[in-house]
Amino acid sequence: MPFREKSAWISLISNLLVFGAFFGSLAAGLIPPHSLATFHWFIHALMALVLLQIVLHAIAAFTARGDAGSPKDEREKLIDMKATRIAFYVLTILLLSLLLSLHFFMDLRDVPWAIFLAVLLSDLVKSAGKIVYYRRGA
Amino acid sequence: MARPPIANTIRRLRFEHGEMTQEELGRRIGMTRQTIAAIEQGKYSPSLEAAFRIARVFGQPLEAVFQWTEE
Repeated sequence: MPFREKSAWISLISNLLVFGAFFGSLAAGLIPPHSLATFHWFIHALMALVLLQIVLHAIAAFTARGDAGSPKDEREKLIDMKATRIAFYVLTILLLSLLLSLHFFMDLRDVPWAIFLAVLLSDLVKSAGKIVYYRRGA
Repeated sequence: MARPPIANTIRRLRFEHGEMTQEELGRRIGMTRQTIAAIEQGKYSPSLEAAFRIARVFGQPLEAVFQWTEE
């Protein structure tokens, strides 16, 4: 498996684990919403994500046999572009949905979290897209 | 997703040129081993520049390396 595909897997799984736990805890009421504690837990989640990604990427680079440092070739650039395009469409749809829901039922205090969730979901789609394209060939 | 209608003889040419590995061919034209593998398997069509570079490595004309297969 090329390093960049491993990187996509690392990104996908670590984001799912860390922010899945964060938003799951918010939804379950384990973290109080709309308080300073929510922000503190978010910062802890972010730090955990960064640490996890650094460690996993270091391991992947060590086992990559020189693959990690090489510049992207045309196929890898194409995979990046295709995955980013899909993620952009997802982000656009989510943000438009957010705008609509603001008019009908959304608590204004939830807006920052909803925006972050939209960005996170589009990033997950980008990572998943890269993995699919790497598996297919391009 | 439909496979590109382009066949190639890269694998045979690699073996005829001192059993060149995919990694070595990739290094010579600035591509990863995985991209070379994808080209050989017909999963990815290289750019015109990359196709010319591959042909040049083997000292062959372009159409000796890549063939259009669509009817």
